Amino acid sequence: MDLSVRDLHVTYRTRTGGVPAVRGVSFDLTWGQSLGIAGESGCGKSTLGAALLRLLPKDATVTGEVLLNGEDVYAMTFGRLRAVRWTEFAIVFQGALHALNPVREIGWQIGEAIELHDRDLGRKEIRARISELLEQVGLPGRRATDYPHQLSGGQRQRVMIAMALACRPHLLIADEPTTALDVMVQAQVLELLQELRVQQQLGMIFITHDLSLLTYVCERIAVMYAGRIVEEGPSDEVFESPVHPYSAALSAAFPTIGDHSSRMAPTGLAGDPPDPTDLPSGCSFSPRCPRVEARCHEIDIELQDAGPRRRAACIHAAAGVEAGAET
Amino acid sequence: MTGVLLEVDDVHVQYRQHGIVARAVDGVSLDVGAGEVVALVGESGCGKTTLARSIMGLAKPVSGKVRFTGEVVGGRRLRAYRRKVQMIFQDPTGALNPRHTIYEAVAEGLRVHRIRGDEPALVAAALARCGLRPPERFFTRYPHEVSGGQRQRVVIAGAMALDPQLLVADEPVASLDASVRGEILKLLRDLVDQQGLGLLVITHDLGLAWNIADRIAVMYLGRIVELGPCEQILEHPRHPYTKALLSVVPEAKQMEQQILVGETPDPKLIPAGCRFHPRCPLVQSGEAERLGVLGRCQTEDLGLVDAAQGHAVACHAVSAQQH
Amino acid sequence: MTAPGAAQAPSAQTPSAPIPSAPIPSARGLAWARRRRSVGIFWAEFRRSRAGMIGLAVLIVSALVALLAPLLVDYGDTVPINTISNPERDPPSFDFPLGTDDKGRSMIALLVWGARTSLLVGLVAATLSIVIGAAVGIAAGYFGGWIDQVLSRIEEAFLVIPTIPLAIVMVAVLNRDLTTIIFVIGITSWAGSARLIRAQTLTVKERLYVDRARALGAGSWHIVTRHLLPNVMPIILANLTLTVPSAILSEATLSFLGIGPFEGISWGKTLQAAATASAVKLGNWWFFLPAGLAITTVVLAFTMVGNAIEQVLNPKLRER
Repeated sequence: MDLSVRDLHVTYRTRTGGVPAVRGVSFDLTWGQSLGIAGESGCGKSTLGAALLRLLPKDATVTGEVLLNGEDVYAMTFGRLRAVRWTEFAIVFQGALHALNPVREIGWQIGEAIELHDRDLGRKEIRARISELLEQVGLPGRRATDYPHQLSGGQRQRVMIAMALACRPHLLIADEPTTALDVMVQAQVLELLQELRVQQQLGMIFITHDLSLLTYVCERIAVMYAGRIVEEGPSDEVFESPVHPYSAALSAAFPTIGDHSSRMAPTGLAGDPPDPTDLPSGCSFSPRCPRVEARCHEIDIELQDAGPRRRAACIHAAAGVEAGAET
Repeated sequence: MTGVLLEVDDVHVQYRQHGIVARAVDGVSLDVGAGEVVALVGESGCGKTTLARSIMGLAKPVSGKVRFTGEVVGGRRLRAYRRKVQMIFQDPTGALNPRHTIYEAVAEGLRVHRIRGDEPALVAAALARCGLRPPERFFTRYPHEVSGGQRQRVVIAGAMALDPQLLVADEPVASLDASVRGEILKLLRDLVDQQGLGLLVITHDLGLAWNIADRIAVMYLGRIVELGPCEQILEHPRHPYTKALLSVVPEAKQMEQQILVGETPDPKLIPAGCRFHPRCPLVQSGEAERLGVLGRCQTEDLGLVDAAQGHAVACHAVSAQQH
Repeated sequence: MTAPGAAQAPSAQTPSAPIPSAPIPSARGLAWARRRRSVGIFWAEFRRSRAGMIGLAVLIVSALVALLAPLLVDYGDTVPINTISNPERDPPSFDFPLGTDDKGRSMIALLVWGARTSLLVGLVAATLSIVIGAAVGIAAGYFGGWIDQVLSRIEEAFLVIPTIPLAIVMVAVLNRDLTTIIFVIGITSWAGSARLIRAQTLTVKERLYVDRARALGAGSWHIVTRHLLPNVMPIILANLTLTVPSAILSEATLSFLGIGPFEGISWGKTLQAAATASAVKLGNWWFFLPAGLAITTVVLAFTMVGNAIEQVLNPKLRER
């Protein structure tokens, strides 16, 4: 049981032309595994998340395949898609505070998801399931009658998670689920996600800009830049010994407390995250890369092998492997 | 230039919501000196932004005093004070009037204080100092035409144009992309090191404090619960709240996670006794009782108590263990 | 100062609009450059609205007619004594393209000179109304407290009392000078603008850049003139295009009721004359139709321009 993404491209059509948001992303995920996708604004990670559930607006052109248990989501009929959405995979959105309807009780909103997919359930059964879901996310069942404004940020996020789990999906996509939350509440929510993942053998895709978070929740990380994956591998390896200069910079932006090399030494990248409408020639990271060479401006490099279960889209990655193979 | 610039002396700031008083800042004392960076860390609702606003004179303390180079801030001297103490805001996009060009944004301070001199040259110098080069290229641009990191540099340039002695930065990099943060933090640290400014950074990000702060003050529900040298506190925390906070921060070296139960309480309902005791791991594990301080935790409110090496903690258990 | 080379881009994204590349010498020069650019951008967007352009064309034509009136038609032609020898109540003919009224005056003459008064009254009264409204609205919104309470109550009073009856009463008490009429119309219609402007002031007052201005040391005057007003201007501008036609209609109403400006010609007075001379009953359509259509066209043109302005300003505000 798995998810397979093959050469996914997403382009938004605008007045002035096409804006490429995702430029050829491929990865695999088995249920029970977790994959983190890290990147900054404009890298395409949120577009990628929405693309997996075919939730993009009409002005987005999608090519490539999203294979859910072998079936291409983009080849499905709309009826099949609706049946599969939420029951096979679900998404927890960014900014949960605004994703909840303010004039409906949270129990009703969770129930909505259940009813849409299982029309045979009676009222009592639905209510029981709602309680069960709320308990699963750490909220007392009696809060089903509360309105969103009566809950705190962390609690609302839990409700979003409960909604996502309503139909027992096998894959959960979480798009910046903890961004607006305090550190402590964030830890609570992450702990909850970990528990659920283990208990229910969920596949999880965790999208965030905070690379250090991913080392807690995910086994594997993929770092995105300008619509492409530039590095992927086991999470602690990517965080601690990154191969791609961008992953290195991203990792350095979250200094480890206790590591004296980062004390009084804030490091960042010059320049700004790339504008998808105006990508440079050659490697899209070249204008900001501290290890840039002449050929980086000419060839746009693909993911190369950079060690066991690791890949990086950088000439230095390939060189590293070659150097290693020679010795 | 050395010496204490800013003294916050037992400041209390309150506001009313639905008729109930919220004690946002409930007795805070803090110093910031020239050439040093003090980080004020805490979660949302702890009162750190309210404290920053009261330091800037944007919120009036209900008691206590804010002193700058010895003189009480307020009244007639507020305007002069505002030349010497400047603020950097969390949201650089919101902090810049979208109808003003970058030139006008930076020149605003100069015009408000009627500073004489070659205005374009002063503006250019401030922009260049903050990394926007060549500065003339930015004169006619609008904030929405530059990136988030550059907007924050514009805000910093606007503050620096007045040649202040102290900067108060409220979450200066929270809304910026991760790869850009380092540059802004580097800029701030450089300004402190090279021009002898004092900097008070308000943040929830302990990693940021580790990166640039000399001293750190940890705030919980309107009060400072731990204060002292940054390295010392982040590597050897003593207050149970600081310990718990460090344990869940992804940037800390893998400590045993202590995830506190519940959420930060409301400043309208501050618990009796030590305000942290309902969530304190020491209370919940029975350690406090074992040390014999449980009763005091539940009934006796307390302030910072100096421990060794300039490291002060507000905790009955810690005080008990010292004797 | 280094010459800014075209090759060396600063560490920034490519800007979306062209930037002047020569070094700007002075602050004043910069301010004007900014204003020119703003106007340029505004105009480019405005041009895309067909309705707006049509409306603007109509308004320009009307304004030209009003300004050039002395050159187009001799004022004497509007004075009844001079036109005794003209045919009365004559339908449109070669000599009098829009016919004559019951006193032999050419309708065209009345229309052209009427434009002057109607547009003048409309514009000046509307400006007066907006100035009062802005002053009250900004004061109430910015200062809050008891000032807000007092001003809001006054504003509510003016809102509740119907404009025309109030105007009638005021004119009855004062005289029927042109200036007085303008004053009366202005002073009875400011309340609507005041309300809108107050609401906008309240919003802008809470913005972070106002806090920043205060932190920089700015006083109320600086904040109001440099931050509040520019952000309230779009509302004022859009509102102006509604207030002017409203003022024109008010003058027309007052004139029609017989209490408009004592001297001079206006479209409303023409309509009143038509009514008194039983033009409708007698079928003298050329008597009342031109003036009526003129009023309607101008009012419509203002509305079209106003809509176009709103369309331009809104996406801009959203983008920023």
